Amino acid sequence: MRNTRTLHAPAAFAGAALPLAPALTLALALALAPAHAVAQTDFAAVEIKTHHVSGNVYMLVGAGGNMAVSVGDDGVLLVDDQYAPLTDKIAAAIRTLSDEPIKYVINTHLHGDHTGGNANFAERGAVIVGHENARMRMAAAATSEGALPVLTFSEPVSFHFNGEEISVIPAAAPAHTDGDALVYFRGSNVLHTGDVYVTLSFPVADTANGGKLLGHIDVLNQILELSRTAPGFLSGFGNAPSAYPERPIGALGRPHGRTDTLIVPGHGRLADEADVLYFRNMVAIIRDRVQAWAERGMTLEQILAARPALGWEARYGADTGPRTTRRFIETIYAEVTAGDE
Amino acid sequence: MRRTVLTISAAAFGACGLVGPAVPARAEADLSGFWQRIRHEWEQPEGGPELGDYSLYPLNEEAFSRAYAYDPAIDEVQQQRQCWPHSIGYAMFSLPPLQITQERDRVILRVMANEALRTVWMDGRPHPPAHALHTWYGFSTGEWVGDTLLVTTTHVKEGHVRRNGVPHSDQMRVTEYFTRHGEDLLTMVAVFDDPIYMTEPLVRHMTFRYDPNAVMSEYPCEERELVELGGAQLIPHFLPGENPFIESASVNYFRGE
Repeated sequence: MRNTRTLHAPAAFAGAALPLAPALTLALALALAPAHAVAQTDFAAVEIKTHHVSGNVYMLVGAGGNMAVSVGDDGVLLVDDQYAPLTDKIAAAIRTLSDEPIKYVINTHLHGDHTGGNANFAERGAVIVGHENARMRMAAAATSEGALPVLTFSEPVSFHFNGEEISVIPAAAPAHTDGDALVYFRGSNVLHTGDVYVTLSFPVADTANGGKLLGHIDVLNQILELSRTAPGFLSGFGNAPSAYPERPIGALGRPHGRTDTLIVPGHGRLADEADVLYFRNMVAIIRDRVQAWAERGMTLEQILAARPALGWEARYGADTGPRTTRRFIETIYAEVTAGDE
Repeated sequence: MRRTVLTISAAAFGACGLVGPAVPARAEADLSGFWQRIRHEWEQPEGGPELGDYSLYPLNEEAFSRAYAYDPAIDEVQQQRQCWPHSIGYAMFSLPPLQITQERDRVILRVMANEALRTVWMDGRPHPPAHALHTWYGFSTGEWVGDTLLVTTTHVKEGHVRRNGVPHSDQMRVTEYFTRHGEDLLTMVAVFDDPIYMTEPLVRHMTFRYDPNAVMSEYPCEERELVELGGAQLIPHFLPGENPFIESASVNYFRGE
């Protein structure tokens, strides 16, 4: 039984937008963004690309975190909004999908590459929705009032919007931050994970904002559980993404390896259950290596030299930027040895 | 290292006297029908390779790290994986028969194992963008080079090229050459180019014999409930340097087994 607090949209939030102000603080804008030097981003050159995922849901890709959009008769619901200078381009891309108003923006977490457009979209009438910890930390970082979520949650809530239930589910554990949220479009069977799951790098815990690296394993398990309990799992021919009308199905009608839930990661390409499971396994295996070696008395430098992430370094590792392999291992080491001090 | 080089001249054989359905209008050769694999003496026996037998594969240190850590128990312990198919890195080399169907805008490749079904688009469409989904068999397009069907596949999901833990990444690109030789023979040469796990492209080939009486049997799979094996986060693997089976292939070789 899901524990959800159901709020019927759109009427429930009509007129809920608060007075508005400029964009996020530089600190948040810079926080862990893969495009870590925001000033270096040439926003004029950014193109917002739309990609139909399934049902009502599209994935929007530009600079910053991936966005998901629900379009339909009730209006537009947007998950994350990238950087403030991209708002007009994002809105224009959405206009190619729907002429209905953008009524809600849901933040998967507080970082500026996902929430930078909050104030702009709020000014245009959208209700900003986010985890209460995200709002608290954004407010503490002197984020302008207009950019803060005006509707917060700490337990699952549901929108009934565009003919489907859209569940906004707090992460099962602190992971990327302590205010992470998953957004699950149940009818379309699409799940936006925020930065708890990414396909371009090792996971990162923003420890200054309550993140826990090993919490990623719990939340990735939560994503897998949501995927496996989705209606239609291992059945049916629906939900085929537009690029894959021939999505692999057993020739005799018995599906093999069907992973119906399509997953929009915080950064990177569209994914599904198998991708998340491989990613979860990777994090767990590297955790096991670091923990075993730490228990045998190896120092952090010795463990780094032993390269516990070998096997995935070429795929996910980096030597520069905020998402380095070193930082990934250091964070795991700090957490698995935390009880030793 | 075994390097199989494509040396067969399709033109030398021609496509005269073909058996099977009529040649599709745009095809340069008729590959359609059922094909049974011809096993070669050097091929891996049924049952799969031993752990530690990674010879002939152009693996880099990242791939060896993954292979040495591989514990076959993971495929049983993780319920999700029980019915997942082989990815494209292995699917075409698993249980035949292979059925090829040629339509005007596509070629369908169907393999009995896992009921693998691949569509090769022949209509000139582009491959999906980088942010699109990656699947077990990827996204394939084809073109005729003389009588040879050249298939290019991208957007593959992570998988294995050998059933003893040799991985391929989701960055792998696969190029396949299907050539019919006379009435009865079909060769497939596959080039796996994986910048993440391979030091150079891996080339594999198979030969098939035409078999109009082949039966495409069902290949059912039903997930089994799992027995609790020590915690929800248990991921079977061996720590670096601690895989007790890694020497088994070489030991058995010297024993003559």
